[in-house]
Amino acid sequence: MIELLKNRQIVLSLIILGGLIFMAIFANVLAPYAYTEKDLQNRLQPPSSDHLFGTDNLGRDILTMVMYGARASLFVGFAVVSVSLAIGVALGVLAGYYGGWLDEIIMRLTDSFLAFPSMFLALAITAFLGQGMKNMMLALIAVEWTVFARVARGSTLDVKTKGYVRAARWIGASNTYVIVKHVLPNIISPVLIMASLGIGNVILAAAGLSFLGLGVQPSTPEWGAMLNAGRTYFTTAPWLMFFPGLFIMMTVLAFNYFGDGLRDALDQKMKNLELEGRF
Amino acid sequence: MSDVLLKVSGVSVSIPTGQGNVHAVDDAAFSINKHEVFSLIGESGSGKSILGQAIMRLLPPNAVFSGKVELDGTEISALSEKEMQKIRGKTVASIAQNPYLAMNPGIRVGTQVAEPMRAHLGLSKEDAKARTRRALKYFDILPPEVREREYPFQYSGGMLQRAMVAMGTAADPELIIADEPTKGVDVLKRRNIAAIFQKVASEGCAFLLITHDVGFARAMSDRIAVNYCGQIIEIAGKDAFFKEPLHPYSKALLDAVPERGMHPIPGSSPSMIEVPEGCRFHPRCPHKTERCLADPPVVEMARRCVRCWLYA
Amino acid sequence: MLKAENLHCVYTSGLIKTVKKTAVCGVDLEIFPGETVAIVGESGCGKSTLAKMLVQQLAPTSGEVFFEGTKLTGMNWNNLGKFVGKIQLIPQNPDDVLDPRWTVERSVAEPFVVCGGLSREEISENVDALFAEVGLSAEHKPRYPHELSGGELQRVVIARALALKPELLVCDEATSMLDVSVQAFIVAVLKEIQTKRGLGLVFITHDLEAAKAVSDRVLVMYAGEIVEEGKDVFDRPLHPYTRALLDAVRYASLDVVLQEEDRALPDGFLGCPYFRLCRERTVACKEPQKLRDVSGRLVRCWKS
Repeated sequence: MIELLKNRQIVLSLIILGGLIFMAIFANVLAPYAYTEKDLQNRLQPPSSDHLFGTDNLGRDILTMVMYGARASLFVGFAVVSVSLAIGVALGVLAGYYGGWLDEIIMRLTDSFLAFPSMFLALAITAFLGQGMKNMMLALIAVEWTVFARVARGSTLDVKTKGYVRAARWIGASNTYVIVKHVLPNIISPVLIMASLGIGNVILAAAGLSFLGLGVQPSTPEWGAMLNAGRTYFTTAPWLMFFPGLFIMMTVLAFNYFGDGLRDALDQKMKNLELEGRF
Repeated sequence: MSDVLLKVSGVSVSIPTGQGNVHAVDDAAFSINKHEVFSLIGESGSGKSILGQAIMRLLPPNAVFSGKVELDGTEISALSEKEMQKIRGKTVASIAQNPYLAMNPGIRVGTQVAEPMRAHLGLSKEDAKARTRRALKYFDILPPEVREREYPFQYSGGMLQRAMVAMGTAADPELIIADEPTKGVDVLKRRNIAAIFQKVASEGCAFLLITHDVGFARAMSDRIAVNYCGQIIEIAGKDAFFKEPLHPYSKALLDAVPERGMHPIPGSSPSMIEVPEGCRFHPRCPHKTERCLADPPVVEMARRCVRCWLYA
Repeated sequence: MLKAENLHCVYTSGLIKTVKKTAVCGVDLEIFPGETVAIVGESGCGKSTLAKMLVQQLAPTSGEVFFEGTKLTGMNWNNLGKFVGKIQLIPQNPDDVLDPRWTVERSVAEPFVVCGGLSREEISENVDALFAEVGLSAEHKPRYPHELSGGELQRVVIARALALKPELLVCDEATSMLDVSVQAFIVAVLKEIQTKRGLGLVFITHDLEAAKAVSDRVLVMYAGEIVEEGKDVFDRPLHPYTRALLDAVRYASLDVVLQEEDRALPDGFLGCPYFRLCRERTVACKEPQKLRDVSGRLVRCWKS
């Protein structure tokens, strides 16, 4: 674990993510205003010392909104990825480990989900289920779990051929024992890498859906919804879109960096092992 | 002109790793004469491969090298990378362990064999082609006109091994360095590799064989050097060595081979990071005394030398 | 103790055009308690497939395996459970059998944990005893597989295999990836365990010298068949293939480069599988060869 902190990419992204999470958790303490506080006198103010990020068309403080928005975005990101991970890994491991018709069914199911472009599928599902945060999350889960199922199945197929799995069977271990004790711990690193990359994707997709008005209500503080709300004032008050956009970019980049760094670090670990093997 | 082809003197290599410095090669000194087959034997992890890489100047970038390597009177350890490239493959060639990894799967075998000729001997396309055919024929890759147009996957394992040797010897090198040529292959393939190498050696090419396979070294070489924990502890002519090894480790090593009853060497190989003080074999040595805690001298004798206090 | 009758194994591959490859063809063998049998042959001769069939990791296409009179082949997994542990396989690559994320101590303890019925203290006592038996010290216990050398790993694997008190160990090229001195050490460990526990040992190798140093009896395999079997095979080899193997291990007549790719036999050829490579072949070799008893030795060559 400490070795991970030697990777500059990981450290940088961890600092950014830490800051964002801190901001989201303590939004009610840190925010200079309440996010419901409307100040119609000061509508569409440019950034100033009173309002660091300016105000929106209802006179709400953008900094406050962005802080509360981090809550929504990060919550959606983590929640969607955790649920997708659970579903995807469970199905993927079952498919990979048992193979045969079970594998066929699960994999054809993921294929049918993957056959559509992910954004299109999410759009279709939200359009079908109706607008709202819960429905948006369901739609994103429907898109996201396939990634984990694929990765988990692939890694399981690899682990399954390993001698320690066969050896465990030959001392009389049950399938459940083998899956829990040997397969899961050995497929966890690729899955975690996919998860950290996935959070970024989900946040982006959630913002996209909200921007299109399919996610959260435009009045709630959410970065995508804020973009949508600020759209009409883009020429006169660009800060309405600039700050939420900046934060979406930063968050997504940080998660992607983190995932990349994690992959590099884990690969590097493998490489070091190989190198040591030479002596 | 002297008979010495390769002269290695005072070569040390250490490689920094997360756990500390690996002292892979310590004060290696030996020379290989022209037309001589010289084997460097030792256990895996004793740093013998690193020594081979040091001679070819193909060490990992973070390795720290000191010492002198002379080839045909030129100090190659002081050459620039560009000059070195001209020597690799021409005067010194190396033969890889695994033919499936060493040959490019997407290029015809004939083209690959011809490449060193064109690069190092400056042959025209036609000359190189004719020469390639001769080389393939020499190594029983028949018929060469057909085989040169095939890809590596169309070859059998043994044939590919021969093609790889043909590629290594294409530019008429004076010295071939083969690192563990027999690792992980069965007795019949091992014997065949020995036969191919013998064929090349009979043409007057010198060999540096880096191997853990005592039987292979015995069958092939004129002289033998034994490597233990980064140090060369004994160099002797083959017959003298197998008749009467001097260093206690050499004795133990020979007793461990199946032909002599597989007597294990007590203890385990030392770490290359914290090497034992003094003689590196002393913790496992049956003849150890107080003086073994000091660095043993290299004792020169008639046509052989040994790094041990017993002979000082 | 272990008896195999007429074992066959045919691999099929290919989707459209099925290609059948016979890996093991009609092998009979018997192993007695406390005996060391070496199975010798080049890579690809089917000796690893045979090993897997003996330990029930692979179901034979036809033929049967008996363990102390009980037929193992065709038995379902639950009934097989009783025999689990009685026959253990020591594979070529020890790092493959050990979970890279487990300490070696945990790996050795795994058989006890899986079988259950032991307290934590009893398990740890047993593990300590096993570590001592294979010559590993306590400092090795908390390490991970990648921190150990090949010889140490192989000893961990042996310790683990011994956990369930096996009566037969099948070592599939267990030492061929190791250095000579380590190889000697592992063989010494195995022999010591054998004398102490009275186990049967099947030693699969390509190295005749190693086989000679270790075994009481030798089976030579070629192309899935046993071509020679007996006690003093190395002093008096009768089959031409055994002689070729012996020449190879002694590096005799290096002036000839063998053309092993010439071995392919025409389809439907029923004669001696070694026909194309044999230097002593005659027309009579095109007839199917049977294992013949020649003064206490079984040889599959009509000339002997």
